[in-house]
Amino acid sequence: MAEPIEPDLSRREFLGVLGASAALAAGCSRPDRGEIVPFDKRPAGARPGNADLYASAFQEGLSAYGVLVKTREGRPIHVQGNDKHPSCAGKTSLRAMADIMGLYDPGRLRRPLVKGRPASWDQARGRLLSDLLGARAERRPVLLMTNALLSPTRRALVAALGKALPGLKHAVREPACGGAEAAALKACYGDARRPRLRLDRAKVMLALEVELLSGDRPEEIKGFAANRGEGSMSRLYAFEAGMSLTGANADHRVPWKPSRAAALGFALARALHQSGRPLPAGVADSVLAGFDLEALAKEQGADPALLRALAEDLKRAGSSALVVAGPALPPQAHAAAFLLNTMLGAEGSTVDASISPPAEELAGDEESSRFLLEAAQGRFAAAVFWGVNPAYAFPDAALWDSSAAAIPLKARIGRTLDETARACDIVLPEHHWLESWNDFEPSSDLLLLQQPAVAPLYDTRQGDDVLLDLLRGLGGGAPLDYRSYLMERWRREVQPASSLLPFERFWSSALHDGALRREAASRPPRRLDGAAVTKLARQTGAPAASGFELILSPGANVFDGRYADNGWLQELPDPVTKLSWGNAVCVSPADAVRLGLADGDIVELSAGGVEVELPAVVQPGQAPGTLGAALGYGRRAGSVAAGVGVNLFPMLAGSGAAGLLLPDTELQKTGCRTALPFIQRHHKMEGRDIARSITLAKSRQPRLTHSKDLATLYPPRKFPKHKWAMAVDLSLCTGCQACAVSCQSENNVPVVGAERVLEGREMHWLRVDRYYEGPAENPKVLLQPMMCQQCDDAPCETVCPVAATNHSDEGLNQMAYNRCVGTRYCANNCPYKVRRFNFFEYNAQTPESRRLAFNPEVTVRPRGVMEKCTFCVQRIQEAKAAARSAGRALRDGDIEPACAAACPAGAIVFGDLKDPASRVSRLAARGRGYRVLEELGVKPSVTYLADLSNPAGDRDAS
Amino acid sequence: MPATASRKDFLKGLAGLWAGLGALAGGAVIGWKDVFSSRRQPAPRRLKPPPHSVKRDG
Repeated sequence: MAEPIEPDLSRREFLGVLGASAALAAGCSRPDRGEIVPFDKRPAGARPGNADLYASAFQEGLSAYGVLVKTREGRPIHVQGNDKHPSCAGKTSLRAMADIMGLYDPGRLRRPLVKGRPASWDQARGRLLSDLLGARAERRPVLLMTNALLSPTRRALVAALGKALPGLKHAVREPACGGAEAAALKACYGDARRPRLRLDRAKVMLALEVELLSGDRPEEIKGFAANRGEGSMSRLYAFEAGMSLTGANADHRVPWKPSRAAALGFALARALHQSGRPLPAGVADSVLAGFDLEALAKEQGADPALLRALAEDLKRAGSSALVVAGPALPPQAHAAAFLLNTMLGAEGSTVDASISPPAEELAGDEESSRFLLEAAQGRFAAAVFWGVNPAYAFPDAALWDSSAAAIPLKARIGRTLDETARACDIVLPEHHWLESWNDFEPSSDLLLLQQPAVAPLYDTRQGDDVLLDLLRGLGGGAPLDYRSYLMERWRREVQPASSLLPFERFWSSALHDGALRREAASRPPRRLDGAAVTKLARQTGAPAASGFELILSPGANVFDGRYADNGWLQELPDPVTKLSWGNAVCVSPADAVRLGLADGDIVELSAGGVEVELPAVVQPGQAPGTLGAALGYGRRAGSVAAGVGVNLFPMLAGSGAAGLLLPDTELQKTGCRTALPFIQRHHKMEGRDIARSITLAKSRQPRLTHSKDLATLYPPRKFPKHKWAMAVDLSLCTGCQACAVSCQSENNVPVVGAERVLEGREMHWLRVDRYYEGPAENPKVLLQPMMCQQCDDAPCETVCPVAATNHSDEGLNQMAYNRCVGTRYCANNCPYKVRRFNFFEYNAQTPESRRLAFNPEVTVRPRGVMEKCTFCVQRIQEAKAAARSAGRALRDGDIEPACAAACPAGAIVFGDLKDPASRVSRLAARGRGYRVLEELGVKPSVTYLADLSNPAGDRDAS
Repeated sequence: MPATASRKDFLKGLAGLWAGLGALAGGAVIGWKDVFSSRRQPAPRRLKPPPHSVKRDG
């Protein structure tokens, strides 16, 4: 029998060893990265849990906007318009809101690079400065290529640098802006200042191939909306090749070839002259003899009666008329618009050049080519590319390559390692605009101040600081930093001599407001040069080319490609085609039938020897014989942008076209196909009155569109204190989608990518639906923002097996995310298709730096959970708390959801239906108010006000 | 000697446990490497308010 084993390790010892091992194992495992750090040393003024607002400014292209930046615990999380910006009044460009993503872009450069290797600022600066000193000693020129400056202080800095470095050649490039308008302004007025368009004063508008109502034109949208109600109704005529938002909102839209826009303008001028309007001095009436409305109508397949009505309307409106030609049109069309405005007396009324700031001298493709040709010949000792991205956006890639190879030292000031940075020897990482100082002059009576909303995240510098540093190195006396330089200039030139305030208080007050109104120096009214108009009119003729007319325009969201690395803007669809994640060429339905094309067919475009392949979209309303496509896609660099869409800038090379119009483009079907990520896949209402439109005359009939209350088995709901509701005026909404971007930013809405969009899994809480009615050749377009309708008898609530979605006693259809088990019954039962299911851990896949943009007031939803619009419940709660703290009741207007706050037209109104005096109550009771699919009896809380149109000949219309 | 053999077995088990712990630690190191690699850039840790800016007071 074996001896019993004497355990030499007691149970207690064994457990001790096991416990120690477990503790050791726990110690060696990956620690939780989430940190909770007490705010023991609170920065002065910081209030944990409260948002701070900073007024600042945003510039893109030739425009600048005032913004308010909302920060939480030091993190900028949301951008909205600055209420102190007089013409935009609290609204801003959708890209200003979306570019908060740029601040947290994980692809941002974090330190300088020299020859592709990390370097210190001293090394990078030393290398660049020694080459600039060498260039000055050898009297060799240096190229500085930038975007439009728009800042008077930045202009002064570049001028000072030019003095310290006499060989400096400065080229300003805005590749998607075109140069035809500036050329026409210079020819006809001797000055390229762009006038301010006063749509708020316009009663009759004629838009020639121009987008006036997109999300980057808040001032124009606001002005347009001022005259689109029962009280005051304007009339908009749009003549255009492709369907734009301007055309979609027009009372009369006519598909029209862009090459014939100038002829239309001159024919209208002739008709006005024949009806008694005098021609400006110097314009020979004989030059208009060849332009005839009837003949043009016949040529373009338009209704001659409509053209006559347009001429009559313009004449009747007189100084309240406005004619605008688009940037893609040749100078002749702009001259025709100038002539019409002058004849009608609109100059000084709806066209206001009195406060336009000096125009930027833009280097077009021709001038830029000259610079690059000189560079290729080895003329430049060095080149600095600041902001611009010629390696992507310069049309002639071969010329860029040869010039880049011949420049001994190329420096890049930029935020990311983009195409141009990759071609440069020195890369200097730049601040984001939310980390920068500057001023902008959108009009000569207004200065906007840009100030940082956060200290620099990385080891970057503001581009202006880099130039200032170089200026000091070159011996030009300058302060140590750009903020001081800016302040000095403001002390010297901006603070009025009569101001009694100490400068520090004046400065502080200007920073607080973000905008400074000042007296503009009076300028004599500009005078139209009749001889120049006559000359341009003589150059206007029918095009001899037989190919398609292709219009290239900046991407509605990604602009000229500088925002292509922004997932929000890539996923936000084109407002008309509803295509996300890429570009396509729009073809008319008639041409599609003729060529056997369908959506997604790959076609080859060729113009001037350049061939490009991209998918086609059959676009209702596109004029036959014309094509349209967006620039800004097909980037080769960028974690989001690379490989999305097709770069169409090369099409501009060698086409010989002025501006962005390519008059002789060939299109061939390749036989290949691709799937296109459309956000909206069905375009008709199939006989249902989802988005309603009525004429102004019909709107005067009482309660035309309200349907009867339906009988219901549900007991009536009681709302003891508040009943939150929304009203959306479709007559004011232009479909710009600023609301959608604002919602995405406010509510931590994830980006899902093109593949998921193809599966219909986009996550937008708010979308803008676009419907076509009528013939595909020229349909009526209806636009409708669609969000959760917060139904009182919500069909989603009754089917949820776990009661994750339920109704609040304030009328909100609310979600308990951690109760949701993801059955998706609610989405299936929602008639509005506004519920979004989080199929993957979209937010967990968000790069860490981008998560800093999350709004801490809104839950970041995990996988397997249904989500939807909450009417920005966090803002409701915040307003309630603020009112409670102030010891008062909530007032109408205290609560503004993100969409309503962003809407430049003021089309979205939020409020309490329990308050009969609230704006939303009054709007909900309006005659053209209706609820979408109210026949289902779900009792939505969103009232839509039917779109109003004001066609010529409408009985009773103004 | 059964008692000694038992201690041996126990030490063997403990060595196995340590090896497992080593593997865990290795995994943690790789994880940290992943965090610091360029493929997955960490977020900026300290966000400071801008020193010279002026806040809007509501």
